[in-house]
Amino acid sequence: MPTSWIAHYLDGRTATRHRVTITISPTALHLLLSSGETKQWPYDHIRQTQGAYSGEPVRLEFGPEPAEALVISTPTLLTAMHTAAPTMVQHFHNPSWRKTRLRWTLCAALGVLLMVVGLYRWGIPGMAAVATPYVPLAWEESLGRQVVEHLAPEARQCHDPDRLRKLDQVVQVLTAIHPASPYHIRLSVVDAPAINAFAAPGGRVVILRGLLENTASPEQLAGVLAHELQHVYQRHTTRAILEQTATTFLLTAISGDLSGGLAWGLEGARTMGSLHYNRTHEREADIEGLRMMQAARLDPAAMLAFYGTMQNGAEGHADPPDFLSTHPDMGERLATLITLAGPPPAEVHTLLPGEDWKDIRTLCRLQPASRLEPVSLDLP
Amino acid sequence: MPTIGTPADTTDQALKVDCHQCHTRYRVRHSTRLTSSARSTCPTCGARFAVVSVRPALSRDESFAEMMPANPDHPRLMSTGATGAVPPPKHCSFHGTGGTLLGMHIVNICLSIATLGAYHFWGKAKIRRYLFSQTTFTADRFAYHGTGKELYRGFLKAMLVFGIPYFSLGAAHTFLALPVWLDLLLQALAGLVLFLYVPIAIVNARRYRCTRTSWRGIRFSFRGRTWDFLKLYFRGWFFTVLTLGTYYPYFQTQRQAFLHSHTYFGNQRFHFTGHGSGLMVPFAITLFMTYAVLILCGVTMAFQFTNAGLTLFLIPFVLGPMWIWLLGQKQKYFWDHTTFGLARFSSSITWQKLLTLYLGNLALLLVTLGFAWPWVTVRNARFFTSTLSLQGSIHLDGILQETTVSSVTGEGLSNLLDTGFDMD
Repeated sequence: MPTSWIAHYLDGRTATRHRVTITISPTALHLLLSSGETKQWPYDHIRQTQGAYSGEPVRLEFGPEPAEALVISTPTLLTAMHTAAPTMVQHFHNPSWRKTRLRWTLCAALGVLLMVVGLYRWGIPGMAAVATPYVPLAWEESLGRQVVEHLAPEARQCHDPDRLRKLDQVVQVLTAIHPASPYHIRLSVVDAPAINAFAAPGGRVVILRGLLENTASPEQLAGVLAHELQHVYQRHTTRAILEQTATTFLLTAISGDLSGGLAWGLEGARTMGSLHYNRTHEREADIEGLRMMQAARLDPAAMLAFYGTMQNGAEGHADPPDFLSTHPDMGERLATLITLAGPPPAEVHTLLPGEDWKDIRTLCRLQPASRLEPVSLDLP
Repeated sequence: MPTIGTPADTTDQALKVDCHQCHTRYRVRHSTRLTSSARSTCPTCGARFAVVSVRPALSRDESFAEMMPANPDHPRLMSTGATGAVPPPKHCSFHGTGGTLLGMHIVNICLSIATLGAYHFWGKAKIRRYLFSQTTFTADRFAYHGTGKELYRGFLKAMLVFGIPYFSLGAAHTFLALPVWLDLLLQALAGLVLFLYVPIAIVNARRYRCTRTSWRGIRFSFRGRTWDFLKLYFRGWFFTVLTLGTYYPYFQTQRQAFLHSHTYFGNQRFHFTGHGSGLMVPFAITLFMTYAVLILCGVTMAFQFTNAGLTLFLIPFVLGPMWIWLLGQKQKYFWDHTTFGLARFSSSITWQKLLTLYLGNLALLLVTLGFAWPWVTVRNARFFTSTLSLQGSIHLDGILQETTVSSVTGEGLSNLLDTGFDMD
């Protein structure tokens, strides 16, 4: 180990480098400049700003800005300082730690992996579930209003007061299960051939003509509505927004920024996360919707029958892989629902007794959807 | 195209210049009357002379020294000073490695997640410190003095002044039932806030980064006023729109001139000698090609010609290299027209090198799903430093630490826009 080192001294006032000889003592660095001037830098007043990585010169700064600086190409000075004054130079990098850096980095990588998986699987959904009740209902209603204005504008809605009133009766049978709910459910029918329906936040449920015309009974419609109402009651949209926001924060923390090529990969990861949470919400809506049907003393078989209709309609279409789908696999959904439904109930409530469902469901007064359009893959 | 007048013949008492186009020598009668705005032309061939900067009452040698070439295409001019010595060009280099950067990044991610994102700014400062300390100029490393706390404060400041107003105005219609006109007005205001943010962020990020960067212990500084840059920025966009884009190279050059010529190293200032006309030809060619390709695509698609879709390939395969060529020209022009004291920067950037860099980066990111980001950073840094050099002599002993910088970036309500922040 050398006892003196040659370094460059920068006085902080000019850009001129001065050659300097450094020696160490238990309390300070001693500098001997080429001009013969000597300086003494106590360890506790020195800051190390460079030299923690291999190949990087060690830079030590001293005094207030503009600080004086020493630049030395070898880390042996640091090693010698740690040997000479181990307690006083703890704030300096110790070159012997470099051997453990790889190990610590691998530990950090493992930690990142565990934290990301934990947050993704449980942390983010958990946080969203906890935060959702604190989101004001008025905000959901405002958002829902905008969604409906955009996706189901008034001009495209079917306006037949008599038939809509009958559809509302179906809704009321279901909403009676949640009398204390703050939501005022409002149903709209849009003149569109796709077999689809959606729930907007704040209590707006929209069904498309194609779906309505493909239901064989009001109970089948009730099955679809039960699923959509669960999206409202479980506040899935709000949860999805919170989950997406949290995912974005998580990915930003991972990436450091969202610029350049990395943004593509991150957007993909964010979308995958969003799809995963969406499928979870769909499963929950299925299960809770089925329970809602049972609570309303409606035959769950009608719900299952309509799901079967949709599954048959979707046959022949190439399904995306599960992890890229917005909804879980229909076969899996049906299997879950059949298990939960159990044996047929002894006594069931009949919806709209004495009414002609075929007449009600054609409230948009258009041709049957089955002859017009293929079945949509977007499931309710 | 401006040409140059070279200070010549230091043995004579009078200041003389050589025209590099026709090689005619002229005597400057009153060198003390030269001002930085003086312009002249060669009486023989009509080539343009420019005086970049002349201090009043300089000694003869100093006058020579300040007589800068207006055209950098003649490197030997850089050595045509009072001393007559030809110092070798000084180069930058980058020594960082992707592996180290990845390791730092992993640790930063770990700590960022564990602290719910709070460590992000400290991690960013750490990365910058590494990148700066791995960059050398004439074998001396740069140093970054910024801290995570400063970046965090800058983020909060920017969020307070721009972020909250922008998001509030932009999202007002989500929370409130507003009439359409009011919604449109708020959206326009949100756009204005964003439009204001960009130039202010450019200036203040540069101010912050300059003051936190040092080389050989001397800090850089940026002393341009935000208000002046705002005026330049608005005027530039106004005329760019008014002239259907023709003014853009002038705007870009003025922007660069503002940023470079208000930058100091210690007490010495950088100068910028470029002019918009220098970029006009490459810009016009690129713009013409862009319009031509887009019109061709539009026409073939509109008339549904056979294989019309194939014309879309012209966009990445023709326009892509074209715009990269323009970017290379721009970068080279900006650096080639930046001077520091007697020395002039020189960039060896070419569109082929730039295209290779970008394609390599793209391939790396695509193949590794973005995880090669540290190597891309290293490639970019190596590319930038390897193509840049400084030609001419620098009198390092004459560069002094500037101690009055704080007055320029001082806090206070009246200087809110000039306080310096950095959040990207």
